[in-house]
Amino acid sequence: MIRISFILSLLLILCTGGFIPAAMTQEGGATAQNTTELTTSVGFPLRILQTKIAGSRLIAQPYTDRRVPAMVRIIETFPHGSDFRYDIEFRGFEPGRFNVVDYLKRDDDSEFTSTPLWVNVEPILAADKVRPIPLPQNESQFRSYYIPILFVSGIVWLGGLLAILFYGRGTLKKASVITKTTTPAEKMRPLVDAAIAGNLTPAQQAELERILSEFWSTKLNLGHLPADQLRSTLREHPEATKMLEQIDFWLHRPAGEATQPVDVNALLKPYQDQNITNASD
Amino acid sequence: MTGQDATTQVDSTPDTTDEPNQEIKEVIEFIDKIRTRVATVVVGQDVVVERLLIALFTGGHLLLQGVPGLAKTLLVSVLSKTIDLEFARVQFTIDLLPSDILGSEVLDQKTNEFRVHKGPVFTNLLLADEINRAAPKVQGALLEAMQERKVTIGGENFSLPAPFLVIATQNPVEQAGTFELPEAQLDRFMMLHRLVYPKPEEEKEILRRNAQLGIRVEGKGAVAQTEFDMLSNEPAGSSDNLISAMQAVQQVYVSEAFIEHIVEIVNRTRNHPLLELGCSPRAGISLIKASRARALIRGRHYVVPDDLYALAEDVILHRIRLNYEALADGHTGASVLQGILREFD
Repeated sequence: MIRISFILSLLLILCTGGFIPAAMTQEGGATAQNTTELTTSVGFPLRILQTKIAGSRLIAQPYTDRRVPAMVRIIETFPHGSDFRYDIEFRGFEPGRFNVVDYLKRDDDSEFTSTPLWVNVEPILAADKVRPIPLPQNESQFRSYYIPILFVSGIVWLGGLLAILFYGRGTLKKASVITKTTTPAEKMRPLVDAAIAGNLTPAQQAELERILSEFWSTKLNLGHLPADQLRSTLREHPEATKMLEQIDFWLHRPAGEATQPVDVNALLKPYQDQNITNASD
Repeated sequence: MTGQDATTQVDSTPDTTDEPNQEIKEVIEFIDKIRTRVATVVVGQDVVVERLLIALFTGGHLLLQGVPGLAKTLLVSVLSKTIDLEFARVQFTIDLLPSDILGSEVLDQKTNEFRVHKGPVFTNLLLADEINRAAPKVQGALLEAMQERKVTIGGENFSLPAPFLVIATQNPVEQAGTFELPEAQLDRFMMLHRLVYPKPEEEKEILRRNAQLGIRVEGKGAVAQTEFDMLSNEPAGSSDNLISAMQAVQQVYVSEAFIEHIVEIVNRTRNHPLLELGCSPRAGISLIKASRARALIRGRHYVVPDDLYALAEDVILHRIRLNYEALADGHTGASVLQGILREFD
């Protein structure tokens, strides 16, 4: 009994031109109607699995023209004796009835004819619904003021940018003016006066020493030298080295050690009347 | 090093015209002997020798940054032999373990008891070669030993010998596969000195000397001699000389004005708009210590701002960190530091 039904099935296959759609799957909710006429929706892929088609290997027709209303893709090919089985994906872009076979061709470019495999592509939307129903939009006050708000924000941003640019430059100019007026000679004057009067704290003494170094640096045009090289260069200068030695005796040696006590008045007198012009000479 | 010390030789003659006292005279003689001995095998590098002596006399640790081949190992080796100190060298690598440096407990199979095996850290002069190649836990272990001058092995504390001086090196060029020392650990080094290439004249002398090294016959063969073979094993001074020098450093006078200079510079680094990290109080302490030693080496018994400025880069530069704006504007640590030192406001 089983053998008879098998032989009948085989005959049926041969009658249909060796075409066996073994299984159909669909994505996106379309349903398979029967083994020969399949249904899907516009744009939804339909998978036709393990379909045996006699003859040499088939490939999908290249989709080169966007006006073609359907597209076929061969997912996988399996050898089946001298023939092949195929997993095919079909996608229709317009409603209508399409023959999948029309979108296939032989890999070796030989002539290809086969029993049609029809797929009905149905529209989901009703015939009078050409476009989806538009979403309800909440009209807010912000939407109506959007353009003015954008415009005002732009003005504020531009104003801020100009303020930063021009205020910043102004501050820089002011700072440069301050730097110009704060020369070693100017900074030195009150400290020299206090030193001659004997009222300097150790912190002020240290500050005076630094300023004197910078004063000589400006005078001898040594501003480019690193601090240690400046000191060693000043040590080699006949006038500056005398000043440094006296300051060493005054500030850095243990008290009462100097063989000749430092005369702070005589040491600092030349610096008391220094002005900006002298400093930059 | 952009300063004078990097480009000119250190004048070892005393800075002062005064006659130094007897104690200082002896220390200067000792220093001269060291310099003479070092000069027999190392050409130039006078600044590094001075920095090594400063580190030795003050008990501070020194980090030398420079490309390979600048005679760092030779310098430390000759220094240890000159003063008759124990010397050990550890090449730091990625797979080094803390126990490889500090030591560990090993099982004595004869007695079936654990005994302590002391590591190379138990020495007077430790050369930690390429310290940034080791994993942070190894760096941490060594830096802890440097700080506390003691090591714990198997729950037992061991004091490190005195003097104990770590001279670490790091290569500034090859940064792949290294672990940069964080600022907190760099702070434990009293000074970071950046080695420079020898001057052309010095380089010629190096080549001349190397050409005359000759070979040493060993067994059935011979090996080419190196500068290490030229090292004399006879010390030029004793540990007593070293102790005297260390004591003399402590006697060097530091004026209030000098302290004010240091406080001012340290504070400027903390408040500078281009610096993210300023100096710690340890920087100020190191500046005073190093300045005192430099003054002594130069035959003075008091410090002057010249000492401070000469050492500022080595003491301060590795303790400050530029902020993003400074880096974006192309500033360097050295340029910012020079600005701080030259500022008179």
